[in-house]
Amino acid sequence: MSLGVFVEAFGVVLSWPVAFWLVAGMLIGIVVGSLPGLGASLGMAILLPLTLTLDGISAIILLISIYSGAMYGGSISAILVNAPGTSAAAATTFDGYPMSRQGQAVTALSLSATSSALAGFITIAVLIIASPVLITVVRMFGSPEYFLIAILGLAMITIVAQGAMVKGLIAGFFGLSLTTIGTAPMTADVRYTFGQFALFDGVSFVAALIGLFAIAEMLKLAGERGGISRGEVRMGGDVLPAVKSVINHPVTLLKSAFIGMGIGAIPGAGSTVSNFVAYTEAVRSSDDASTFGKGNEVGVIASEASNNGTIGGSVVPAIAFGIPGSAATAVLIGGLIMHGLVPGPELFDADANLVVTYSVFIALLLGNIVILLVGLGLVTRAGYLTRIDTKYIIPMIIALAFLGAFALRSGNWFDVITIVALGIMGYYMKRYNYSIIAFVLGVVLGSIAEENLYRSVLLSRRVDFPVDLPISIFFVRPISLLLLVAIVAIILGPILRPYFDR
Amino acid sequence: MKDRVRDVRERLTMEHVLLATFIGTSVYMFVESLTFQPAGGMFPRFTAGAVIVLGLLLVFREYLPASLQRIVIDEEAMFDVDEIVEDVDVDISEDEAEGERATAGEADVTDEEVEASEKSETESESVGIAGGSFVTGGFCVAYLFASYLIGMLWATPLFVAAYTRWTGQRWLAVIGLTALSFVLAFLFYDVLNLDIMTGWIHEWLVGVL
Repeated sequence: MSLGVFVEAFGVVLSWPVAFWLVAGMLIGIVVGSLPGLGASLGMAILLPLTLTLDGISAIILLISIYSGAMYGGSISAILVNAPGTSAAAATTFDGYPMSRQGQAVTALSLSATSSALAGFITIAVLIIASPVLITVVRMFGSPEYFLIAILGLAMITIVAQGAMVKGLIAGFFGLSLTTIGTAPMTADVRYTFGQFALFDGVSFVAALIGLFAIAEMLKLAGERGGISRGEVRMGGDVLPAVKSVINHPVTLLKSAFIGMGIGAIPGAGSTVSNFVAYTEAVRSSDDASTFGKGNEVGVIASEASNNGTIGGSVVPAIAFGIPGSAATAVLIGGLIMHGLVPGPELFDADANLVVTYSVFIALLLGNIVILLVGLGLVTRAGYLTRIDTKYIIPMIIALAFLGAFALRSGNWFDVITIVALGIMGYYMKRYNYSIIAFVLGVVLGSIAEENLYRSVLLSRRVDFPVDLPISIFFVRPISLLLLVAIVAIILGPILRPYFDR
Repeated sequence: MKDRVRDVRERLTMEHVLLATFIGTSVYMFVESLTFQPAGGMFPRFTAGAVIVLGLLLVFREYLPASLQRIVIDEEAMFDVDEIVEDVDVDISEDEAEGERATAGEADVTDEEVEASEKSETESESVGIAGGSFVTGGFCVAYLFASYLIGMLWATPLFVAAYTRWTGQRWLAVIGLTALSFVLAFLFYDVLNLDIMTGWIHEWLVGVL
């Protein structure tokens, strides 16, 4: 570990105003996470344009803190009104809500805050300790590998996501296509602009993110049943016994945290999946499985430890390779690029931006303390959040999305048209199971993928390969070849499997 | 012939429109990319080509061999979380509705009456659900045009007022949210120096007068 850079990053995170943005991000995250239909990705997407006025580190720490806060916030409405604020807290409803109905809402919320904070703290600490290995691995990757890993990310998302594999791939490739609008990065060709000057800089991926996560989500929410307010929730139970209960279940806590971390690193899987896997594992390994679903504390611990554990896992592929483990990390990648921080080796170079990477890790580490303090300190007041009707939120989010999009490039109408068009398109894509994360990955990574493909073709000219191919470089470098085999296996696997089964 | 047209019209869904958008746009992009320099056209050709091939696979999914159908027909996701979340919500709503009915002394109502009332509620709800998204989409498009015409500073409170009235909110909420939205828009105008005070109509009026 570059100790000097690590210490410098610690100082950066604790300095003003970065520390303020850390706490503010956590609080915003807890609120947006607790409101069903909103969640981390929407909160982050809406605030992206506003981060333009911040320096890079403050902006990224604000965004990552929203992500972390929302992971815990999702449990509040899951426990109190059985409507998970984010899908990452879906399994929390199984035991959290029955506890709440039994008059143990404070206990359940305290279990959630403690297990979220401890799991988040442990997994991020492990990530920091393991970072030298990560740095070595990232430095082994060059242009051909970065192009292939973008395609591999798309392919992997299509396996995990809902809907047919081809639907995921088409969404991803269409996202990549959109990034070709505007001036070509290498040749300065002006592409698909219809002579409109506003299109010369291409489609803003931040506008695309706002359209896909804010407008599309609001259209979906407008079609769902009313708000979440269901009257007064009785806030019974105790904080301290809940904290002790989490400490008394170290195996569940650690196992769930690392299940979250492992699954979080898989593109497209994210906290939603880890949440259910950790819960199922807790039920499987319990001697008292029949009490799960009826208010078993271990169920809440497993579910909440896993979703905060996911953060550490999903941040690694996002920062190292630009591959999002979840929708929220896709927005985080957007934020990084918007502030001139390209995911990849530069973020792991001690002479370049390693300080940013370590700042993110340390912010996540310290953010867990905020979760613990806010979660346990304001636990009896959490019921207020469940009284906000989502019908009030929809027009405000749409208005913020419009204003934010217009502000992105100081009054480019094309960005506002983008959010409306992609919002409507995203709504129908969701409805017909076309992977939104694959689409976002395409939009965010398009220009990076194009540059890396171009460089790979140039490098191929210098490669001694029996056949004259423009992409021969992919076949002569071991990591490239491995990635290529993995892509082919993922895409052709489902087609060829029946033949192997025979 | 008429029957065939009606049959085709009934089969058409928004997914077909989505696929037509993907394929149509990509065909244009592919053809147009032939006019770029070789290096500038390589990536758009690769991505547009991939969308065309994948789109055609989806269009003709019913006629593909069984092995290829595995990758084009929707199967259950590895983890179908949305479904589980919705199930949980529905279960609880049903529990609560049952509880409310019991306390309201509806125990004497026959099963058929309950079923009929639930059916009509579900039908009107699904109409409302589909309409909610559609109308909100319409509001967004109208907000876009209004912003262009009169400026986003004025269009924002108008949009919020119209939307909250349409969703049947109390007047107090309508006024409060409208005022809040104007403050938000004004902050963007004032702090970020965004040109949202005037729209096309202002420019046109200035030209005319």
